[in-house]
Amino acid sequence: MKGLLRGVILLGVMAGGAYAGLRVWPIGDTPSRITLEGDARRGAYLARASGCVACHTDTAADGPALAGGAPLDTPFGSFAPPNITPDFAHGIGGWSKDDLARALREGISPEGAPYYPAFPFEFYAGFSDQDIADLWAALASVPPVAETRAESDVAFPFSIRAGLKPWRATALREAETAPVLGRSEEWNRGRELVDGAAHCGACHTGRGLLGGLDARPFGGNDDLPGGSAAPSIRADDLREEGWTASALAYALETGITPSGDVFGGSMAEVVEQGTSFLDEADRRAIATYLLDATLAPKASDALAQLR
Amino acid sequence: MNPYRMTAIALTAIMAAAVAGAHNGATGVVRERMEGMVAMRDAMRDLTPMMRGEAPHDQSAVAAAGRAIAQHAGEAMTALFPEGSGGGVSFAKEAVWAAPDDFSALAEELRRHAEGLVTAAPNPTAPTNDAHAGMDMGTSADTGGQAGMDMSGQAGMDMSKHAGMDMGGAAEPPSGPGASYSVAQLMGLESRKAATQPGGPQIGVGRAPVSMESNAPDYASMAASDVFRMIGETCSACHGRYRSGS
Repeated sequence: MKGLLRGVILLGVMAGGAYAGLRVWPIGDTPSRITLEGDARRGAYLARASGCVACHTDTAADGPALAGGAPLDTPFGSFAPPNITPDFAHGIGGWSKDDLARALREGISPEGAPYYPAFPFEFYAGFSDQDIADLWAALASVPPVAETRAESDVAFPFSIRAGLKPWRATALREAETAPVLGRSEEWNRGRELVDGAAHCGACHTGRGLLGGLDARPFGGNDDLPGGSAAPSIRADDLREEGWTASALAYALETGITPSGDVFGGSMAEVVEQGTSFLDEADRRAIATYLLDATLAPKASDALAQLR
Repeated sequence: MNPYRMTAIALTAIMAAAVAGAHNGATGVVRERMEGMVAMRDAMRDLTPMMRGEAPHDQSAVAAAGRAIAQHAGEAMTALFPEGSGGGVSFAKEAVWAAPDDFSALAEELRRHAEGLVTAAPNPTAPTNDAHAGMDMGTSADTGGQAGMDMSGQAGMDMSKHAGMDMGGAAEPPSGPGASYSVAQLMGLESRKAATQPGGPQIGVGRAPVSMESNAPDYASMAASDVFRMIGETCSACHGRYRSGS
């Protein structure tokens, strides 16, 4: 009996110790100091391309721009995209440029708490200081909205944010978007958009048990929030389905695919609220990059199946 | 019975079975509406290369596709979605019956746009006011500046309001990314209804009015490809809300 009691106490202490350890585990790089002036037009275009507007606006309910989006239902709980207007109480009015940089590039709140990967910050890791300054200027042009439209509702144990720290250490896969020497400008622009801002992989790359992205990108995901499904967008599969560069660019503009079908699911929103706003040259760049069959898939590692 | 006839009958049976298989064993109204959707999909497929500007404009093919889609839209479509016909092999979401008015509004909008495509079928590009329908503006559009001047001079065209912007666009393509839209439009503060098409190959009538707020566009003055886009927008709006999967 005494032994059992001792065991329970010991377990409790260990759990408490582990939790305390997680709490104090430092995350993030040294804070940046961004002093650049931003260009609101560039920032607004980047906000469009990155899905900020699509996700943080509840268009279906006619919600005000960027004042909070429709919740995303996942197996871990429901995640409500917050208000990112410059309101001081409900939005990000109190944020500095450096806070914005940390949130986007590292997924860490101004208070130092890790964000859930429902926010696709891993794709924004390559944003330059200039990108951040531009986004900052664009967000500053939005009228503040004093409301919180929805709260996230995350199930235990995922509700413990500190639990994200070991996840970050093992499963987080930051986007690599730096230009590759020897590739065309168009290809590199496509890479910047596909692997970075436009975060195609957030839906089109499979995820492991704990929501981490597969090491081999773009194989598709049949189990998306809201019952949506994303097909494979690997070059071979795209070609097999009759996609060409111009067909892809046209579909990203209009939703109309070469089979005559028209996108539904989340892709309908991606086109309506995102890619249809892009310049034709950027849609072409995305198509060029996606259809490049020489993209060597990164070797998969053993952890990949667990994440 | 001769062997040829036997073969023909057998082949017909096999093909019928194949069609049924493609629909995952759907029967009754579900089967019927799936076939309607497939007919519309095929009509869209046949036009897509032409609407992308990669095949020569074929007026009669455009009109035929418009008619085919109209035939399966509007009430012809909603009649095949009786209450309680979801679930099972159907891709229809319950939202169809939760908001039946929105669903039938989209079905009706599709019918209007499809008939509009028949009206706009003779127009490879947006016709000018004084000009004969079917005049090929593609050539003048290639010379950029000239096309911009022609179009800004026209009364009643959506573009005239944005003459300054479009002139710039036509004379010298917009340089920076996102030059086709205002900051407010990019940030979602303003609708882009009045905005013009990003400087792609088509210098047509800009992005068509967003669905649901349609004051019946003047299809006769639009390029067929722009009406085609509007059909795509309506399909996508409907699929996004009412079709499960992708």
